[in-house]
Amino acid sequence: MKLTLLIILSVFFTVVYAQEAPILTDNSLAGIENITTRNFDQNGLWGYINGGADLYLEYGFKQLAVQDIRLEGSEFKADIYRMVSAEAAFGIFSVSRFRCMAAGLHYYHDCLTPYQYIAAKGNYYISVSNTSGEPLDQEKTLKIGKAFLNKIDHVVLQRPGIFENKILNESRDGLKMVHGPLGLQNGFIHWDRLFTGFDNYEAWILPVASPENKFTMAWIRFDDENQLQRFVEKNALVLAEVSGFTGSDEKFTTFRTEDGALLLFEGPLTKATLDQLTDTLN
Amino acid sequence: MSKKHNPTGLDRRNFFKLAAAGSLGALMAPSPLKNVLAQAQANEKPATNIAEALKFPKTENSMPGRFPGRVVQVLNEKSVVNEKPVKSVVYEMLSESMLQLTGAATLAEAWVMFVQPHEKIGLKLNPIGGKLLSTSHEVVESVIEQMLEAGIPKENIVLWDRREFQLHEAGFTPEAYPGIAITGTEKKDADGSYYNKEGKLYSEEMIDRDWYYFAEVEGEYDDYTLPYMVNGGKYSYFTKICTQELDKIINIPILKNAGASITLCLKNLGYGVITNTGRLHAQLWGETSAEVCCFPPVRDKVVLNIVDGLRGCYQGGPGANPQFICNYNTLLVGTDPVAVDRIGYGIVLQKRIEEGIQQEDTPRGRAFMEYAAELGLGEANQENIELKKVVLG
Repeated sequence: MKLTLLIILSVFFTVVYAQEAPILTDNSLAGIENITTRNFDQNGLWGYINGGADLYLEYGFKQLAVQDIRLEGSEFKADIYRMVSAEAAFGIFSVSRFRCMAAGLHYYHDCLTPYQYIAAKGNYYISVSNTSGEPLDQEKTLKIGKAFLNKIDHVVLQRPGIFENKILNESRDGLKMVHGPLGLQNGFIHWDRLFTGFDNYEAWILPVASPENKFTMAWIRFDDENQLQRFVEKNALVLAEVSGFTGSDEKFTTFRTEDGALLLFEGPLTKATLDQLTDTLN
Repeated sequence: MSKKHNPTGLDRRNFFKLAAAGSLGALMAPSPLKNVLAQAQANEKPATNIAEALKFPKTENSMPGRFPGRVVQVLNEKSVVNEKPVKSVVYEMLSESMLQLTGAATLAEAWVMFVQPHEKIGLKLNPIGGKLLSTSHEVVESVIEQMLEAGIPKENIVLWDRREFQLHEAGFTPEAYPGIAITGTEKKDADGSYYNKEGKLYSEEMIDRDWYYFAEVEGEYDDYTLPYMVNGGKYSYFTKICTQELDKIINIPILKNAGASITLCLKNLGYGVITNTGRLHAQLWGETSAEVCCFPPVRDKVVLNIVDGLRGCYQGGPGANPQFICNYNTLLVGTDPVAVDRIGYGIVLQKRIEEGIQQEDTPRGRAFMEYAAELGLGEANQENIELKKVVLG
């Protein structure tokens, strides 16, 4: 009985939550006016950005609310994408983030450029853009972005533990999550050939550049073991053992992780670095 | 072709005869093309009716047009000021492009090589990027002015795209372009409805069921999406704008990326003239861009390509992501859509490398152009392209 009630309640709240996009109203911010809202569901994204929809659909798109906002005399456009998961929202954010003037302003995963503020929070990827790129409009863009974020609950992002390691602190903002060809083309085209012919994978990719280290590392999980083996064979990768590893100058160094994923490094890798990184996993 | 004006002599009945007879094996094509099609099949791509398109004899206007393999690139650093194109500079860039492309003594002579006063001429625009990144008014106005100066009557000029309402949103309105027809395949009425009083899509009247692109991929759309696709299923129908209403088409795309590839001449046509495109992106993105252009209503009517590269993007396309929009300060002009695309691709690629988006060229990015070249639409090999580069200002 309790279980049934719990299921009914959880379904009810899920439905309610799904219907409530975190959009702004005239009361959300002082000075806001003339908000117009358009909603796009599932394939409806084709109607909004046609071919641009592919990338979002690949990550797992649920719903989009587009708001045209006027604030203190300036025009702004806000796109609020609800994705299938926090990881999918982060994935879109990760391949959209580029040359941020500032990051971590209102949330862990956000990025400000002259014309745009983007962020990933919970299952939502948000983009607020202005038309002038002027400092005053950037401030307003941030203000609008914050108003949206305040309407979204925090959800812990389930990223592979290895990326939490402190030696990656300076590089972590470059972390990308891709799980299909479009994400790869938009986020890390350099490995396009590596993944050609594969789908059903999730790859977290991080270029690392510090005085001590310069390599790209990736944690890659395939849906099945056959795919993983085919990936290893196709790219002529040699699986190394963590224990007894003394360092490598090979183009690629690859390990299996205890959770069945591949840990792939491109570039020189020292034993000391690997030891520091794998500490996270223990 | 239009039933009113049908230089190929192919009417509906003949097209269906060809379609019924058609199979890849029965195709009487030159040997290399057979190989191309066989290869396409070998790659386990969904089957399409490209073989039918290739049976239509080419005309003197067919792609790659009057100047195969020739591309003119005109640059002017002063063409964009404060993120806005400068009309007088753009007009001059277009004039120079036309003279360089044709070798004509005057601008009027250059234009009448492609369009005649008695013809209905459509300018295929790209308004997908809204006010941020659509075909610029400065380029469109310059084209219109130069055509008027060459003796083309205003009433014979049409601005068009798939979506009439997106043209309006991007500022292509009757008020801004008095006397110029503005139309699209997908339409809304004044109340914002896609449906007429009988409950039928307005777009239904705009599609020509005699001309279709078939692909073995099912399009399934909900009620919300259907107005943007017009129909589901395995057939994509050509717009009547293209098959019946226009005699000539001038293609005016924008210099944009699409992932590690581009969305320029071929893509603006391939996805801009047919319905039910949503199903094609995943498995036949490049093939559609090339194959749709092989059908006579496109292949034989698009006489000129003018790439608006004043402002474009190097990442985030085909949408308009402000952080990736840049000023290329460039126009690319040519009759050969493949060659123009190839040069545009090089420009976008160079920018992507400069910006650190990618380190090197990737075969995936060029694949659709190489396929289009194999289908006889133009020149994809950069070494064989005659590029005339002019720097003004």
